[in-house]
Amino acid sequence: MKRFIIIVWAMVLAHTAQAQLLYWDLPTTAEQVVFGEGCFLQSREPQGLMQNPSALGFIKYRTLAASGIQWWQEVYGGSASAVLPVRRYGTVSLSLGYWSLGTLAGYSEDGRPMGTVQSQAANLGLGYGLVLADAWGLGLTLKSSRLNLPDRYDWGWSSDIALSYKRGLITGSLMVKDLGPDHPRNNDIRYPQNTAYMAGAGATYLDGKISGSAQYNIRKEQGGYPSLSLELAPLPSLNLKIGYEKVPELTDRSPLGFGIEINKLGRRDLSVAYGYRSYGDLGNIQAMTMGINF
Amino acid sequence: MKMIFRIIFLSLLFSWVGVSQAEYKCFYGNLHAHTDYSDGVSTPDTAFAYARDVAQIHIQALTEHNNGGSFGGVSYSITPEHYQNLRLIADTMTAPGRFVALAGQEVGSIGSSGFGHINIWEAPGLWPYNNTDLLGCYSWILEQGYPAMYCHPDSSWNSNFNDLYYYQDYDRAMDLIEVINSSSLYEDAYFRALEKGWHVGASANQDNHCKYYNTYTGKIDTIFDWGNRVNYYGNIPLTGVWADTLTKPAILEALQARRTTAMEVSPADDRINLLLSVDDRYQGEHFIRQEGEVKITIEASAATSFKSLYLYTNGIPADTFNLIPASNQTVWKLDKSIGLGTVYYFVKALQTDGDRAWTSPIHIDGVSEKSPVVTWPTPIKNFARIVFTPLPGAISVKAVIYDLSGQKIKEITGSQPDQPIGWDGKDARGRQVMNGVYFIRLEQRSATETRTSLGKTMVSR
Repeated sequence: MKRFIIIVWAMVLAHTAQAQLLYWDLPTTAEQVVFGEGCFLQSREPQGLMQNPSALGFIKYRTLAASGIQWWQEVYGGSASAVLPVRRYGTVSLSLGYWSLGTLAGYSEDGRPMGTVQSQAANLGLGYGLVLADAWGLGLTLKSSRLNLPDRYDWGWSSDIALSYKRGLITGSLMVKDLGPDHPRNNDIRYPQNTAYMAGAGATYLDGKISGSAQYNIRKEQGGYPSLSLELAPLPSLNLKIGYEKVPELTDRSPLGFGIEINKLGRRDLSVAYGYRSYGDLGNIQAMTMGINF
Repeated sequence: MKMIFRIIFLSLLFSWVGVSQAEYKCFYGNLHAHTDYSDGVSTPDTAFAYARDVAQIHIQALTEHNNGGSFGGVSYSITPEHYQNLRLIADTMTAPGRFVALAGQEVGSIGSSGFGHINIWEAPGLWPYNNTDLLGCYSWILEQGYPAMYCHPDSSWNSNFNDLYYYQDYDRAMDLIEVINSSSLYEDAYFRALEKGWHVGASANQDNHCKYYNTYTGKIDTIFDWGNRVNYYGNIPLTGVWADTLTKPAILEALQARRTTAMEVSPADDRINLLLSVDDRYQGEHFIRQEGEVKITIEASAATSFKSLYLYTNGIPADTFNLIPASNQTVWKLDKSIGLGTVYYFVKALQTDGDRAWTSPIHIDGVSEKSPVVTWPTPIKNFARIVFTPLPGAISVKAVIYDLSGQKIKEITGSQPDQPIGWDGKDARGRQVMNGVYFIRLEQRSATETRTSLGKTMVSR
């Protein structure tokens, strides 16, 4: 029993959610690309706005990470995160995200060229994690997003709450993600948050040479789907990553993601990671993340 | 002498059934008339027989008033029983190859809050009348799937369809508009409807009631004139319908395809053939094409000579062809360059005796090869047309819309492989999508090839 934690999750769908895209839910880091939402449990590093806040408290070193992602169809994103342990008061994080959604040709209703139109999204996340009794991790993330459009902008906010239990090499976690008011706040057309409920367990073996996790996610629109993550370290500074996640609504997205990480470089524990996933005819996404611990 | 006989023969032939180089023939019809099933005289059998045998036209529609009951204390609205009877009579009177009888209703939204009159042909039942519900009427027409026409569109008929306001959602509801009828010329309304965005074809009809006030006797005289009523201008308005055969399905298809010519005829056998084609596509069509040169061909023939032909580009008479000397048969060819965006062409013909004819428009959406899939407009507020570079010989087209996460928002199959695909900015469940960037994967299939193209658009409300 001590070697295994059995996570039992009971999930109640809060309300009828509506399909929507929130830019804080898009991956920007290499691990998010590989693991999808499985990164909430699998990742030990800061992950921009897709961060499990209950894991923050277990991080006892300052961390900086920056990521860039190439999406399909000339869309690019990026994020930067800083994690700062504050002694016994827990750990705080700050995440910034940015999406360039590209430049499009503008057209009138009858097809006359109308110059170009651009759109960008900017995200901000504040996280806080606390460890109780050396085993229980509690966490909260507040996040906001602003979408710039040619003649207006939309903004909204949301929150994630999470609970983790860590004993030895085993971790279990429960998380409720995207809790908040209808979005966006400044538009007559608003949508309920598509709240997600996630639960899972992860384990590390052979001195960290193998680690894996299994997580189950439920969103009202997408229904339930699992996220499976596996990480192998054939060499001390080399991690190979593979993730499996088949979201029913993302029909063109490959369920498999692949990645590689080189870490523990130099005195500052520098790491560089790369992630890749295919979206079929739509294209591929690939991301690079650089992190440093100090 | 032989030459003179040949010309006379050809003229007579053209006056009866117009023949062009196209695969279609022109059949002449009157799409707006009444009997005592509403406020006209006599019976549908008599009216159809008169149009066929006396007026010698190919198509006669009886479009009895559907006012949902009475107006002004006088009930002249067709009853549901009479309407079903009219449908039976129309089927009986139809003789493929010789005559097509159409059963119709004239939705008469009247009074100060009314929107005007609309003819619908061959619908299975009567519109559940509502005097003020224009959008409900459009919606009902779409559900029926039968052709419809704006009747005598001017402001004397109340709101005149909300001043012909263009609703993209209901664009396919309306097929024709009267350019002229027995009482007035509505050329301006035709031009305005096209300018506002409607894809409607030209029609000319007689609105026969066969009741005339006799100023000498002070009584109402009954004069049968279904198909040969002379209007205020001394002409007989007729609609030329370009179809491959004279059958009811072919005529209904041609009306919905807007393959029509509105004309004034005087004398009665001086029927006009006026056909417009652009790159072998015919009047009434709407298609996408890469920007560049197009070849326009206008064929005109009649018993009376033509004086001038005018090619209208986006509602403006941009090109004129003066026939010197005047001729009763001509082919006018010209090349035009189209750029990005929608362009529409139609032709107006003027005969030496002053009679006129108007073709339905051809709409072309010019696209760039560099942008294989785009939306008009971009950004999208409520409704957009997805336009694309057509695959030659395509037999089907489908647009799949994704959000940035890769979630499939909606799948829309195009009604025609080379026509824009309409998107109402809603997802598959009918909810408005959020603001943001969306991606369109377009799949075009021909007999030998499948082409997939990607495009990007933006929704901003």
